[in-house]
Amino acid sequence: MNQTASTLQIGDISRADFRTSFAADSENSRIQKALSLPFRYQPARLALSLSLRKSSVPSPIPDSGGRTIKGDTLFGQDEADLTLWIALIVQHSGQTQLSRRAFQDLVAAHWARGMEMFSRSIVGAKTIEEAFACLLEMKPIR
Amino acid sequence: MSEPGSNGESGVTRWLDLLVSARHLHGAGGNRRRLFNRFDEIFASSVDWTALVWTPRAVGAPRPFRFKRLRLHNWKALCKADFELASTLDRPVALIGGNNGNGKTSILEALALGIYGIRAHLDRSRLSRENGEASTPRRSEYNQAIERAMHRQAFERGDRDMSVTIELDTEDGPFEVERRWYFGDDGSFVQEDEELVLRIGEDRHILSPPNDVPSAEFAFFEIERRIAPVSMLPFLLFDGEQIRRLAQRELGDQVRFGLESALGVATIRPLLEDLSDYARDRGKDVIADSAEATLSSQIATLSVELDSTRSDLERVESELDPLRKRRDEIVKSIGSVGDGTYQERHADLELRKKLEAELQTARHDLLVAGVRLLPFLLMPTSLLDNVEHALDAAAHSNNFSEGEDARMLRQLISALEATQPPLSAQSLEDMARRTKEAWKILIGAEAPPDPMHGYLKGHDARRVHDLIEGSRSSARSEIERMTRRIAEVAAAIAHMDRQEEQRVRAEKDRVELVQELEGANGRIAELEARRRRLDQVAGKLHAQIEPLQQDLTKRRGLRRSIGHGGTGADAARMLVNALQDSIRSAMPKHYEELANALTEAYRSLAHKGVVQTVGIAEDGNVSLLDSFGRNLRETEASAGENQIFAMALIAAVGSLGGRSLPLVIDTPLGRLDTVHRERVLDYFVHRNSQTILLSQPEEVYGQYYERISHRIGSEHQLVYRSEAGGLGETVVEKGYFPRKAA
Repeated sequence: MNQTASTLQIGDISRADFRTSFAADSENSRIQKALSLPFRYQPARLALSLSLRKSSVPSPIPDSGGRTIKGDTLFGQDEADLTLWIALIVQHSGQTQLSRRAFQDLVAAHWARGMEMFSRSIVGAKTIEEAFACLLEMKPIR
Repeated sequence: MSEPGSNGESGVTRWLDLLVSARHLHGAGGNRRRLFNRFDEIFASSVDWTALVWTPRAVGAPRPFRFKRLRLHNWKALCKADFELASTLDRPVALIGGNNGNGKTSILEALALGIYGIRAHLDRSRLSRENGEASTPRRSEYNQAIERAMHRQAFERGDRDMSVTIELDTEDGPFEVERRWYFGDDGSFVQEDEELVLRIGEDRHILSPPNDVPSAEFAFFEIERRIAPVSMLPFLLFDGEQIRRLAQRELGDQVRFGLESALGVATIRPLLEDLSDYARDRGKDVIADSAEATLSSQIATLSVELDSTRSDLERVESELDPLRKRRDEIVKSIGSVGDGTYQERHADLELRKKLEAELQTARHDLLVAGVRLLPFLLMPTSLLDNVEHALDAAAHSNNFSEGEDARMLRQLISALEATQPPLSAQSLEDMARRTKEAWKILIGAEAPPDPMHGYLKGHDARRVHDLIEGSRSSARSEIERMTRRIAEVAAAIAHMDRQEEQRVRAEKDRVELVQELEGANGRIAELEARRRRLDQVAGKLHAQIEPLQQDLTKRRGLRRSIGHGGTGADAARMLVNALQDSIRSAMPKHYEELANALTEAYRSLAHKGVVQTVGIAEDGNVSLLDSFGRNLRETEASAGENQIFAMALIAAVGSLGGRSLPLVIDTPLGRLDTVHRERVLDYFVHRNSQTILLSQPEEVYGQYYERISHRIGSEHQLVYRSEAGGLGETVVEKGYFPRKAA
């Protein structure tokens, strides 16, 4: 099956594996541990949000050394949640006819860029509420 | 007799004269009732007796004098005697020779008793009395001595009187003292039978006392004023025996005796004794002599104990008071601290656990909600708007799938065709056209599905749209609500933690307070026990003192009621203390002068020239210092030197105050070795004042006589003439012993 030719399907995304760079995944784990977060997707989703703040498209990741995570875990098992995340990432990319593979690469790049932003944003925070407070202080952008 | 006023020192001092006079008048003899009664009268006056001071009078007023003539009538062995005594300054020595028993000592006694009467008798024994060799002289002894002095043959011849007349040259001019004693037929003499006549001036004018002064006191006062205080007698008239007695004393004692004599303290001393006896006598209880004193003493002793006990009590109370206050504070503090009940603490613990759980839940909820909602606050609103719009469009698009809208249009037109009453074909056609156009506008207004979000086809885009819409509107408030809740729970936990911390601290404080309370309670119990004991002791002492005090008050009242008030006794005690104080302070003021006079006399008399200085210390101690300042008394002592010291003291005392009093010396050289004889003779005959030497033929003879002959102004000898069948008598002849005078 030609991946590049295939169109994006929600069911595919739900089942697909996502991974980011080794460094970003390591940082994901570190923050997860530091803030006592029970799941890997939690810092990942916040990282994706931060990356989406930037209008530019993130650079592709240098490696795909991070561990995989299922699409329905990363974006939510509820289809509405999953669909919304797909819509946001697709809308941000501005691309039509985005393939599943391109979508996966895009997520990997957002994840890595967002992870870096996340790390910088919550320096010094020891609890999840402190980390959230840091994020809430960020200026809303248009 | 009028009493002296009590104003001013001189006025007060006059009271002292009164007391001295009273003593001289009434003091002699064993029974002092009259003296003490006179003291009662004197002390009844309102005088501040503590202000009374004694001042030395002899030294302050040097009054040199010379014996000019001595006449004796029926005096001892001398039936009649007349001595014209040398009195010129260039030949001041009067030499009277006489074998032992011929009456040399009689002359010495005639001078002493002639001038001072009974007071000489009372004073002359002072030296031996102070040495413990004699008892207090009595008036009766004087009377007996006078009786014995009456010339026996003259009495037997029928004479009933005896007299001594002494003529003197004094600063106030010629002064004559004539004392005459009259006897009963049985030879007895009584005090009233003594007559004293004082004459002054060239014409022998009789000196009369003022109207209000007793003649005896006046005469005595005049004699002491014009000649010397009676206490100076041992330093005016003396014999070898007297020197021996003086020499037996320690040097400091000699000095004290000499100075007291010169200053007149010697007159005061017996008065002090009498006053002390008087105070004891008047202070004693009418029933039992020492009962009152014993009571006073017991009360004083018990009072001291009581005071001490009360002081102890005060100390105990002063420690107890703050301790009790502290105990109350501690009890109050412990009560207010409170350690909480078990249930309260358990409830607190449960609440805290609950809050902890709540906090955990709130954190979890926040985490879940945050992860879900925060992205809507972080992502750009334009992105969210665009997605929301696209989702909305997709939702619409999905509602009308291809073909379904044509079927719906056909059904709508069919419904119009069925309208009753039926419409015309033209109307129907028009309505169908118009419906089709409106349908077309309506359906055609929906944006076609965004090709970017093609994956939405067949999915419920509306739900996703509602999700983004709902999440965006509630994200911030929901997160903030949860954060607030977490802060509240955390604050509640912190508050509980603080309470717990305070409780722990309070518990610690409470433990410390309990320990302090235990200590305070222990000390309070100890002090209270001590206070009870002291209370008991104080009560017991008070109970002991009270009856004694009552007894004492009763006795004093009784004594006052019979006229023996304590006033006189108290006044006498005060006076004794005041006089002793003034004597103590007056004596050392004359030490230096006496020491200088002693140094000069001692160096002249002692043949060893080792002693350079005689020193008298503040405490009256005497030191004999050599040229190196060493005290020779600490290294050597000689009885002979003591005798020389005594003679030096006599000479020095006689020269105090710059005066030079005459000396009458009976057998002056009797016990001295050759060297000392020469020095003593030289010293005494070369003085600037009169020296009357009563000498044995073996004493001043040959070379000794030659040494002094150029200073001799008069010479007499006492010659015994025996009568057949009688006692014989002594007659006075001019010239010294013939073989010597030749």
